[in-house]
Amino acid sequence: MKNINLDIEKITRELIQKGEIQQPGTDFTKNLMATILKNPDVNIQFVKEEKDKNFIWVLLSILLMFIGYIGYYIYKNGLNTISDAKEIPAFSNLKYGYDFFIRLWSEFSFSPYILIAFLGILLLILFDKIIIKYLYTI
Amino acid sequence: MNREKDDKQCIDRIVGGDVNAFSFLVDKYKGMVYTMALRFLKNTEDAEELAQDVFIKAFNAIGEFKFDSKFSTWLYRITYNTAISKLRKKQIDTYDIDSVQIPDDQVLGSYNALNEITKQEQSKYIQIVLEKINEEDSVILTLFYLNENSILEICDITGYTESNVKVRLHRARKSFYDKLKLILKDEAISII
Repeated sequence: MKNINLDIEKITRELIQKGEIQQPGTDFTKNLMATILKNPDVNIQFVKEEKDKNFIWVLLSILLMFIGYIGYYIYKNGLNTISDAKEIPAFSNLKYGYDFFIRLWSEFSFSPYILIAFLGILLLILFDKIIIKYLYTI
Repeated sequence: MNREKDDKQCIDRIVGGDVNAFSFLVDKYKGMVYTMALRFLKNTEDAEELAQDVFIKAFNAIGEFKFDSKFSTWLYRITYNTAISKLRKKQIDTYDIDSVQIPDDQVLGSYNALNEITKQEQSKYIQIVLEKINEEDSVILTLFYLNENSILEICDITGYTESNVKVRLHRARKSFYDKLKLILKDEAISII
């Protein structure tokens, strides 16, 4: 028996792995999260958006689209036409957009219905935050 | 590597205020944290309470985690320290390796005897042996052989030096085989 070259490491690993990793009760995670969420210092934010990163991408996309549009216009009509900026369709489109918002703003009023709608949205956001805390406590 | 990337994304979300992302980490590591707690406290209720304390401590300190080590190593260090402070840390003993040599026939005998019983019984006996041996020895064996942490990771978790971990591991193995031999012997006698 003494002559057998035993791999004690391997055998021990095999034996101890028969013991397996044990698990706590089924409600462990739920109870733990309830304890954490009950803490009034905890600030809940359900979705983390990378706002700064997204904003930069939006700006870059707009800039690229604008450069692309100008490039395409020059390619199509030649450089001479660019001097008369008023004839570029993009500028006339911008003017339409500007007129539209001016008209909308002049017709917009803070009627009680709009205020009630804003209040409703605020209440829904608050309810959404509270209901999740409540669901973890039951 | 993917596990660590997942952990990082999850931690970034928690730090950003998405508290519910923490439940992903709890589900992922609760088994090992609970097993370590059980090895120390040898009682399921106390172990579950300690595991809960560990996760709350980790949650409160997660903003201080700087990714210097794996998240799991950091979490097991908290588990180890919390359990030790509950048990009151004992003095680190030094052991003479020669005095804890394991005879080959003892290893082979235990291995063969254990292979003759059902898988369920094997698991039961290993759990009993790990409960009977010294708490820290049991945790070190679990980290090294069951969770497959490296010696350096165990040093990081326990705060011991590399040579100390090696010595403890050696002693723990000897203790494990001694207890296993005794338990299997008792079992054989009870069957007869």
